[in-house]
Amino acid sequence: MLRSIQHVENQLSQSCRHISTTSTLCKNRAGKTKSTTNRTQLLTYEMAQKPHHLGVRKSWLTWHSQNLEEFRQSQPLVVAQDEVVRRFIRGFFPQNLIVSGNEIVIKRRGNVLIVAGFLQYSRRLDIRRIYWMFGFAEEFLSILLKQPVKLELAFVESEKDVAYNYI
Amino acid sequence: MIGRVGLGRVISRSLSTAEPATQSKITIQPAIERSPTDLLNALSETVGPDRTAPHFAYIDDPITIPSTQNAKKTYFMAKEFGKRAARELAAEWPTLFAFDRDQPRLPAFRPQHHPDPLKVEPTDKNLLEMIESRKVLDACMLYERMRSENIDVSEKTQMELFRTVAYYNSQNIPFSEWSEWAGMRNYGEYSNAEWKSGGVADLLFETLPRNDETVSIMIAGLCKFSNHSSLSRARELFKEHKAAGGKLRREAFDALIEVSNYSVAKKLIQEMAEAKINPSVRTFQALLTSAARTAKFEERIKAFTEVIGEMQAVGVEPSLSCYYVIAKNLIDNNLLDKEKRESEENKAKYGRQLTVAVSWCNEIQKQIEEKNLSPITATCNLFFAEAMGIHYRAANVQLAENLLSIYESKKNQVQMPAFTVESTFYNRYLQLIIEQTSSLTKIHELYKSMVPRLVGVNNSLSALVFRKLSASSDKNWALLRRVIVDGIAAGQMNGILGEEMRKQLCNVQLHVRNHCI
Repeated sequence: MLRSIQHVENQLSQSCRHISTTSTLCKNRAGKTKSTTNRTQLLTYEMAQKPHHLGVRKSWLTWHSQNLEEFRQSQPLVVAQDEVVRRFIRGFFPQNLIVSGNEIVIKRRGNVLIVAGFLQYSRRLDIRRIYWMFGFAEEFLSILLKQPVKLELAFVESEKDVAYNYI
Repeated sequence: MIGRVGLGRVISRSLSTAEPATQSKITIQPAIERSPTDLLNALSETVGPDRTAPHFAYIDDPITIPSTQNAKKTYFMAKEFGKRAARELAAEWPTLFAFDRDQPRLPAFRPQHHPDPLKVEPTDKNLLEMIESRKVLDACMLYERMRSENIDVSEKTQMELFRTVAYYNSQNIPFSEWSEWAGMRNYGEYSNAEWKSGGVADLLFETLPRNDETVSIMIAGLCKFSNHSSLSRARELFKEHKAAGGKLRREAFDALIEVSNYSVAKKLIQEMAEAKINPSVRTFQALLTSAARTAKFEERIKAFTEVIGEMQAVGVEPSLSCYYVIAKNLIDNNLLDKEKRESEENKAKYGRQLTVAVSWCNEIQKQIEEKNLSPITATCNLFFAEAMGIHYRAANVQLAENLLSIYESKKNQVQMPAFTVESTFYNRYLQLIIEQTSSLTKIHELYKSMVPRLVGVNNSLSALVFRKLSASSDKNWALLRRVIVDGIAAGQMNGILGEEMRKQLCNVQLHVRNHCI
């Protein structure tokens, strides 16, 4: 025990800062999905399109004017709000999420924040419960963000319904 | 060649510019004056409600769109209770929602609990705030607490409190007056409360000096929540005050007229005239309510005619709620049920009364057709459903269509609450048209435009459509399919209707191509 502490002390006394000389990995890894031998990996349309297709074949997952030139008064705020909304939806509808809730679209129109996307029916389909949860989520987020929030989440029977390709 | 032509054009242009006198003078038209909302109006004219889509209160997804009235109520209330739960959380733990970047600060997003009457500082100001926010029970508790702690309450505050407690019978406001939550407002159950004797209202009435206003308020309250003893007390107060030379307000007269029989009500009207109190629409509505209590049909109709004639003589425009009182009482209650009018005498009586009712409705519709209709009392919207009920009974398509056009015209601002009264109105209209129309295509069109958005799927409607399909020599697969799909969504499979569906499906001739489209 004492010996090991001594060893650490020695290391600390000898340590000094160096410049990292590891070569950078100049490789684009974004949007690359690993395929399986039996083609069971589900890809949604969003996942199947590459990042450079953004704005061409697919669209953004958040819509607002803060990323335009001269409109950037509260860009960090919007990013933070988006994360709050996404985490809330992921946490509040855990049984209904598809692709782990990664494809929720957040749109800002005027003062209204609209959350769009797909959910799936949970194992126990109770529509009354869905309505309660929608009412709660809308009101909770509205009070939290101090602006009207609307949910425009549509339902699919299972995750397979949003499959674009299997690789 | 082309070059020459081009050159010629240039020359001719240059020549024409050189001679401005020959050119026709451009005159700029004067600008048409537009109001700030003209553009919005023009835009709104280009869009209309999509009746095949669900109501905006619901989630627009096939599985979550309600089909029946019951489902509509359940889903609407579920969503509202979810919202209320969220607001309750935010009111309980406001620091967790302290993302305060809104400028100006929006109180709508900062729900707060109402102050506790047992903990709040017992002052006039706090009491007035409670009265203003119409927390009647809380205000009563605070007032009693202030009295027990010997804290003076100003006469003005006591008067304000007295107005409120007399109007609401020392109880919280009824669901129908909830402004924030539409579900509770429309679906909350009404209780016909009786006057709470010995409550805060009585206490305040004894405390405050007796003048025209306090006595009038007390009489109005006693009549609004009437039972036998409260009515006799109201009448006693009326006599006492009259004997003491006081002059009651119009509201007290209105309340007394409403609870009296027609002959007494007429005397009260005369007294009003002697006291030089001008009657309002509400006075005449109270008089009509009183006339509606007349048991004999002929006398009742005579009384209605008298009241309407008086209104015309005085120059008071009848409100839709006045017409509602009339329309509701044109047919004897005991004749409304089909089972109760089995005897020939009752049938003839019913027929006579229905004819009179239709002619009254016809006259009323002629009166209101060209007018701008706006709500005057809370019951104005009920007229449409009641009149449609009469047209349905009389199978009068023409008048029903006229009533529908009046209701849907832009001049009408009286709207029935969706899912409840409005649904009844459209249901009656739809069933009437289906019964009276022989064309299945027309029925299909109308059915598609109203079910399930305006009219919830119900057993009588589905049975009616099946009857029509069976009786018609034509076949309409699209209509049959739609009714069956709606029936499945509404849970009609188990029962007589499910049997009917299977029977109808057995009759479908699949080998004929046209029927399967």
